[in-house]
Amino acid sequence: MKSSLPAEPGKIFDIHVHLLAQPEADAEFLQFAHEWRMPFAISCLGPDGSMIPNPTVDEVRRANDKVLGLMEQEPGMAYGFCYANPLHGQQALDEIRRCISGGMVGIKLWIACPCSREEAFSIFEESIALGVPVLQHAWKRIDKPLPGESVASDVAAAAKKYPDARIIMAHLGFNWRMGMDAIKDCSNVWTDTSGIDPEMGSVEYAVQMLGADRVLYGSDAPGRDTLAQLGKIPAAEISHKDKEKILHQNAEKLLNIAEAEQ
Amino acid sequence: MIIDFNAHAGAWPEQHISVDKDRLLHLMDESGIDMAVVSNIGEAMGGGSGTDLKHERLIPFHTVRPDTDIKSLNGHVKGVRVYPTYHAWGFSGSRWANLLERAEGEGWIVQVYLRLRDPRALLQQVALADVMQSLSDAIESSCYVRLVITGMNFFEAESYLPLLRRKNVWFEISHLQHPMAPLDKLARKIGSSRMLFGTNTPFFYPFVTTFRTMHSGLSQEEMNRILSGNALSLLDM
Repeated sequence: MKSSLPAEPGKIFDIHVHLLAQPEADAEFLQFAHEWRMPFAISCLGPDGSMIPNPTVDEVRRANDKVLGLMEQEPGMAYGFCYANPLHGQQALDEIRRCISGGMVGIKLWIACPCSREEAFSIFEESIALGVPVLQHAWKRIDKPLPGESVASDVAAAAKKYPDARIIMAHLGFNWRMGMDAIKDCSNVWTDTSGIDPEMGSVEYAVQMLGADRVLYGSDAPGRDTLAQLGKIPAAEISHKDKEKILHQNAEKLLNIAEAEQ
Repeated sequence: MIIDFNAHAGAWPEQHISVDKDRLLHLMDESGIDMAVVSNIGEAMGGGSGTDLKHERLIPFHTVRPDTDIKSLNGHVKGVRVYPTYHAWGFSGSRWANLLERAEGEGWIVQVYLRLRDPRALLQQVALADVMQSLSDAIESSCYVRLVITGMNFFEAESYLPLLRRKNVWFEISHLQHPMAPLDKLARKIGSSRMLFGTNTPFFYPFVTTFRTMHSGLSQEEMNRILSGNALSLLDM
């Protein structure tokens, strides 16, 4: 039988977590993170208990304030990603600067508009200026995309336009074969394993196409079961060394977090 | 001991699936699984060739499609599988009635597959909610055959609790992918005696179900029921 290791306490960093602003669900995740001694990158996509696809300036600010509050409560555990709405123009950039100066370490874009659209360009420019990565949702489904939803080809287009930006494409792009094929030549794009079912072969394909250095463990918790998400990494037929990179080393390097700091 | 109630072998080229008996047994070994209930994915989805499933660790079930001649099925199995979100079944019609009659006579378990992959990745012919409505009605009125529901997530399960609490219905756990700790939560709703360990191999990594069950908050007694105890009783082993 496979060993559960190296998915073990103290050796995991979850790059994709949401503060849902639902007390029970959020507390459940925090308990898990503490039990597994697992630091995490977290964003809030809605301040009042539901995720808002195209939030107002006020909603974005209140959502980010919740993350800043959590970072104060959970030093060395919660690493904030600033939710931004590209359609807010200069106000989005002001909010990003406020959050990064408050200690956040990245920017989170969801589905306000596809990231290959002009409205998103200033966000990538700002991420380069501030030296932080952008975590971009990408989800290629067989039916119609959600309004404003990005797919892997949007991420690849943004990455090629801004080669100095560091972009994390979430969810392996959902359709992981198409997703990995689209970004394999974009050396400034990482991907995370979050959110999708534990489909056999998905992690191996990501490593084969991108190399293990560009694959990050993520869960999309608390909306997703952390154990089902985490189990993909020890399950994958890749080397122990690559599993360690995916589980925590790549994220620590990308976010400039020293192991000792945790 | 672990018994996987949800495995397939065979080939489905369109979905990049190809698992022969040796590969399946290897995956089971890697995941700590002793025995698996298995059928041929090619027969189910019509896209690939068959495979030999004879082995002391494999428990074969027949695949039944709406156009299957029920009378022609041999009786040397413990159960059958139907895929009503992918093949349009009418649960109020004669084909379903004929299947139940044969299942009752043979003592077959009927495993109802609602999902093999996320419906955003694999198109379903009939929506899960429509299938469940018609299946619930059919079961409430007359069915005493032992049924295993496969491919339902936690939130869907919450919508069908009266059905899932029936004495002749069991729940296979591979698609409990959200929210946090869904195994523990479902056990509190329907009881661990109704739940069966399943992996959805080869669509999902089989080790994931082992990992999440072993690390769940379930008691050892509950875990033993889910890992194999319930399956052993159901399969009369």
